[in-house]
Amino acid sequence: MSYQRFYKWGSRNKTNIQRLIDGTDFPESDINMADGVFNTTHEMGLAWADNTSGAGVFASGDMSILLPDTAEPTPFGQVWVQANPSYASGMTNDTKTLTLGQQTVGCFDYFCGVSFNSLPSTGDYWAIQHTGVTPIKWNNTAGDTLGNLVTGLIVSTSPPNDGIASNGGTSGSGTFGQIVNNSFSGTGYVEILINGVETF
Amino acid sequence: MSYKPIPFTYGHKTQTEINALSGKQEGDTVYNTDINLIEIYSGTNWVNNQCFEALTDPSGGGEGEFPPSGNIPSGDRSGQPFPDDGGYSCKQNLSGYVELSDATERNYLGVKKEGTSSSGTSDRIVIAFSGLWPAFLENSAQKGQHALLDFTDGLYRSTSAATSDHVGQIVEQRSSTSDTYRNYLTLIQTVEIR
Repeated sequence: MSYQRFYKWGSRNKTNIQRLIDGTDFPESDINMADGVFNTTHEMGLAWADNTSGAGVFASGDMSILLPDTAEPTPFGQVWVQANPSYASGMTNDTKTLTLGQQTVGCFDYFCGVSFNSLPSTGDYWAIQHTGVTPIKWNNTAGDTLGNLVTGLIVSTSPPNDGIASNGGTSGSGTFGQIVNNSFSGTGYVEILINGVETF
Repeated sequence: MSYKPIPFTYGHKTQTEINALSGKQEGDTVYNTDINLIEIYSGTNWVNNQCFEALTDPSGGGEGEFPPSGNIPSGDRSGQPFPDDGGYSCKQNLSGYVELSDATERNYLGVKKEGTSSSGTSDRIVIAFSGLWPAFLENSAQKGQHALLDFTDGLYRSTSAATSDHVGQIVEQRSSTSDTYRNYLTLIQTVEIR
């Protein structure tokens, strides 16, 4: 018995989904609203495309799609983001924009989630994962070496902007996630469990 | 192996277009382009994986009414009825029904996404427990402020002070802060990690 898979972009890992978003493998215009893709990285399941910006972004049910603040020079993927207007220079009214997480003490209170994709150009959208398990960039200058990372550690904000560091095994000021998988640490990423409106 | 687009019943549509659909049947699907989620029709409401459907309390007394009875008490819309499309806070009561939430976090379920219910009836409404949803605020708000459960049943309020009991993060900035009592897009998550 034969069958057809019904999600248009098939099974892809996160790297190859990013290539779709960047227009590397196909023209960006080939991505249509509501196109499906199976995200095989971290087994996060199906994600859906929004192509209102012309570049396409894929989001699953644990994500929301938002614009980065226009003042952001480097809209990375897998960094934590916040909503605090005090640190969103250039912000205009009637916007729903987020900015890279800041190292400033207290900014963790405005934690909204972790960006899934980097952006090809200004005006493109971020898929922001607000709950569940997500990879996040590890900050090599945080004082903890990658080899120190173990499952169960609580993570906190750390310089430079968007960085995270270990806060040890306990919750406390500036903490917003818990390491659940350190197998990616060799490449500068760890997986953490987050809740976008809770700061431990 | 070939692939094809997912055969949604109604394709992709805006919320306004979805509201205008007729002839829907249980199990029908649509991709909602306003919230970027696939939704399934339950026979009563559109439900997605950030929401669940539940029954309102039929015992009367006002707590099971969506929208809340009475009028907006102050602000630019003072004296007007609470709107049907308000994002009202919901909690579960001891009878297993859903009702308007008070200011206590305990039993808080999330924000009403869809549906209405009158006093003395038990109706199916949809409650969002995660994601970006409009929350009906008691006061005006700014992006980055926190959302708390208000002392008026069913409403939220904003605060700039970081607290341990906030239930949402307001991510929407308006050009005017004079219009109070309104829906602000708020990131919510009702399940705590620890």
